Amino acid sequence: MTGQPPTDITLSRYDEVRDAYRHKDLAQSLYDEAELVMADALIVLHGDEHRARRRLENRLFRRETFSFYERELIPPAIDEQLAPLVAAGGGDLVPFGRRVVINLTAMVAGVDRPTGSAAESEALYEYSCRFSEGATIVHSTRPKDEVRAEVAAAIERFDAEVFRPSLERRRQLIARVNDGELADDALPRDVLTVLARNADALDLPDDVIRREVTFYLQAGMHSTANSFTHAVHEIFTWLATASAYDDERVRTDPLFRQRCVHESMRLHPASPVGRRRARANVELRNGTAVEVGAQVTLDLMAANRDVDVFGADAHEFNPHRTVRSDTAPWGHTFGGGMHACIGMELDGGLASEADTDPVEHLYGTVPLMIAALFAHGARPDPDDLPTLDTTTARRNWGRYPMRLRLEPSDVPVLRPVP
Amino acid sequence: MSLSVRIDREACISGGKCVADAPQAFRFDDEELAEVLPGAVELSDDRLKKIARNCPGQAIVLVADDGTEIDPMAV
Repeated sequence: MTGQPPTDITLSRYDEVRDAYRHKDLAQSLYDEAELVMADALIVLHGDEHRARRRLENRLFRRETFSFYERELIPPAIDEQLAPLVAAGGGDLVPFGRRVVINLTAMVAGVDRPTGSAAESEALYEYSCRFSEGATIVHSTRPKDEVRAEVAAAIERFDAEVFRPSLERRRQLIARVNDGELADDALPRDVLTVLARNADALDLPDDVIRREVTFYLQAGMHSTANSFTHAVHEIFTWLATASAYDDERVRTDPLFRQRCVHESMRLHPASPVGRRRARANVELRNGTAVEVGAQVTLDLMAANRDVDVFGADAHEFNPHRTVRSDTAPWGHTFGGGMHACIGMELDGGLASEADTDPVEHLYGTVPLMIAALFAHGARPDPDDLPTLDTTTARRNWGRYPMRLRLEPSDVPVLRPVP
Repeated sequence: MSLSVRIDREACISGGKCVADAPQAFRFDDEELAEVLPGAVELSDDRLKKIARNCPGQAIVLVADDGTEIDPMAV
């Protein structure tokens, strides 16, 4: 022992990041500064505790559930929020995206919306923003104490106004199921219900359940909404110089359009880095030694642009890119290993293959949102240019004005038909 | 090489990707953990490797003819 602190390392190659994600002695550490909102949430757990929680929650995230959402819930949720923009001939895609996504994530998390009003959705969005700032405080450009104070105040309000009523309603339903008064399928299929029902078995106090719910609310909200505006930007920027054939394919071929979204996801991971801390001395496949206690930064931006994996033009948006059979077209954007994003297929669907049936295929929320834009002849507003969000070091869009056409397009295949 | 497959129940986190990707080869048991079906022998080695790589819990264990475990990331 030398008494020296362990040497932190950064991994930036695609294969070594994948190796680190899969290593069981490298534990999550990206949220070490975010205890206020992330303590004991699924994404920071490790080992047995993580496995027990994830086994339960994974039951909500089955592919058949996503298929049901995709056919029955997501299209009307998109149409409802798009209608006012279409009527106005266009508008800002940033609030549109967040309104669509907040209602979906609230449903998955188990946050009740008793009135279903736009104001209620907006309030949930504001909460998710505060929680997200708390979760990503490591990347905040604002004074961190100020952020923490705002987050603490938001948690207090959310607990009283939203979480407690949602939890109480579920506890009453669970009691009626336990008494044989209601059938099991009368319970909501959401994270809050699962945790409330298993709180004793997993030893979960209410504050841990609340943090889990807020984690789903903010993580699902921001990653999906930002992924949507990034995809819009990449696709329309590419279309400005694309061939007429490519232009037609984006508008008419849902599998190719989804491929465009996956290419954008590769270039824009929700978090630019992942972080792990070694719980034991570790040797990675490439021979890199990681000392116990050392922090390992996974540079996802770099790894997703690794020219050895994605080709010489890895920094560019190229939806014609082909990838190795062991590589996802979105790279490491959804993480990997035990903490791989639980909602990955809900967000981006499945990667298509040569024999994929476009009718049965799972497309994901973001490709469906993009499809809805093309159905209304969307094009960037030349008189009102998009601007970036200045409140975070993460490069996300703050405003994205777009023009839309009142009449739906006559393009026939915009969304899978059951 | 002809690979066979088993599930490490301790590692399984009930992600369900194997069941969704190859329902003829995997299903959930009574505890909603993955288990192997007889249909798994019909899957090609490449397919099995891909399914094993996609398992977030790394619970799908590939076994070679001689009984040695195969690392899906190394092949």
